Amino acid sequence: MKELLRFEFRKLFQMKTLYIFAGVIVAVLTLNIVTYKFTDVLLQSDALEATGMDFSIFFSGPFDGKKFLVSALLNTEAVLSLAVVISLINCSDFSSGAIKNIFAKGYSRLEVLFAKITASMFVALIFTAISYLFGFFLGCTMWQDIGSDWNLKIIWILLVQIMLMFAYSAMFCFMASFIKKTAGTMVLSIGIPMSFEIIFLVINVLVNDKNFNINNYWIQGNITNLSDAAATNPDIIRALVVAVFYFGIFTLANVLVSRKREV
Amino acid sequence: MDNILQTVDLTKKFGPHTAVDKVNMCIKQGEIYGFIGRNGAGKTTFMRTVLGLANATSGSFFLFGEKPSASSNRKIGALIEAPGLYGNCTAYENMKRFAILFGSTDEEIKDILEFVGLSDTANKKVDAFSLGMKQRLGIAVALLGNPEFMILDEPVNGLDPAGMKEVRDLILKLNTEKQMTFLISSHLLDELSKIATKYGIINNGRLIDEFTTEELAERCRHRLTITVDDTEKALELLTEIIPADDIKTEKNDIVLFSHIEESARLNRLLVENGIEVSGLTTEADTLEKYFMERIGV
Repeated sequence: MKELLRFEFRKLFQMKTLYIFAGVIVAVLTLNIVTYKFTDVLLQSDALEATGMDFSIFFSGPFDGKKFLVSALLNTEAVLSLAVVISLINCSDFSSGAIKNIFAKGYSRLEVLFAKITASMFVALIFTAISYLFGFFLGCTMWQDIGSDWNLKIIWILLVQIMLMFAYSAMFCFMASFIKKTAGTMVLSIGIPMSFEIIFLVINVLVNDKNFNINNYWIQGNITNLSDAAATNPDIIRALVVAVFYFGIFTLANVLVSRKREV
Repeated sequence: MDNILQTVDLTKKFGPHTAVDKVNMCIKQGEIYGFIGRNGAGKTTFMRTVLGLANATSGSFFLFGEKPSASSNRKIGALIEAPGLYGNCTAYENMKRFAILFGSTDEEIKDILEFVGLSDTANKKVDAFSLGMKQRLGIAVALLGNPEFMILDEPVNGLDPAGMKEVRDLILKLNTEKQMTFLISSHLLDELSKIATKYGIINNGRLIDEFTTEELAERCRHRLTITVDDTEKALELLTEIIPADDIKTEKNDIVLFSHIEESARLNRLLVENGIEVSGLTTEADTLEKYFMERIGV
């Protein structure tokens, strides 16, 4: 197993795509935060007074380092970047045929699978950490304010967000094992979460109950709920349960699909 | 000699199609086993099953005298179908990656690359390699970890004659110096006949024949074929000077397996006794001809 991890991490750190999409995360985050700053400056000035509209209902502060730390994952394309990189990690050995060499040497399907899941989780961690780092840095820089009311709950929020990203990584790993093709995995890994947003919107409208929101039971919905430092303890606990549940389900499904796979 | 590979009624089915049908094979240490069969006969499927790349439907097999395990597979080097390589990496990087898994040092990587003639590829990516170069690199990867048993599926595919000779010499050298055992499939029967010590012919998933090189020589031995108008009379004459075991008749032909160098004398003998001789040929079966006969072509 140790050799497999060294093997996977060597490939990972030599993958240009990893660095490209890390750059995409930083670029999109920077663009979004700069846009926030620009809009904030506009609202602070009298430039929009002539319109007679109250824009503050769409755009609520305060803005500081803490806000953009906690909301970093919403302000960048970390999930999309993760989908692309994980597709490559999991599919490239199969599409190139290199996996034959690995299985022929006696490494089991499950050993290889868990090495790839570990590498995928590492990518999720790195992309999340980059988002946090740059979100906080840019927020502090733009508003000259690191934020106030720092408490332990912020740490919990960030840790559970990381768990939610792990759940996404498990989902993308499963898709890769199921579809086996890099391009197909990328398309579905990006398309399915997008489709869910629309489907859940329709379901919420149909159910029409203000106490029910199906997004609360999906990964992205909980990332959204936890993107506010004012998230409640029940929100955090529910998000943790959702993260563990989806991580477990997708990993189990992956094991079932992979264990007797022929190459 | 220890058994390196032993299969017992090994079967592999894909739905209703039986690709490998109750194959019983035994390869002993130090043998170079030539695996021959038509396209789709089951050679590659058999090799994949033995390597664990495909799951056997029924039957069993043993590697190094034991049930298959991670430790037995570590002692195997394999090249199955197209080489599995990382196209966007150099030859050295490909070797380095697999060396992490197979336990080889940098020194061994350099030695192997030099051995297969790829030490001067520098920064060239594998995607830019010719088919022959990729095949050499595939063999190089298979040699990582000092395997004791090599399973090679069409190893000279895409190689020029010089390359084929190099691979052939490499196999012979490894077999002689390191007692490495080989299972090699190839369509190039002439190539195979230069190195194999034992052969297996597979047809429609069934192992229909197995023989050593000595047995092949016996089965493909030289013969003198005499076409006559009266085989009975000719046979009566010839059995006076040639042992009965060395004569057989085939329609209008008398086939002799000895006294081949006396064709002129035998011809004169037959003609002087009133037998018309319309044909006199000497020949020996090649492996190819024997193979074609065995699979019914």
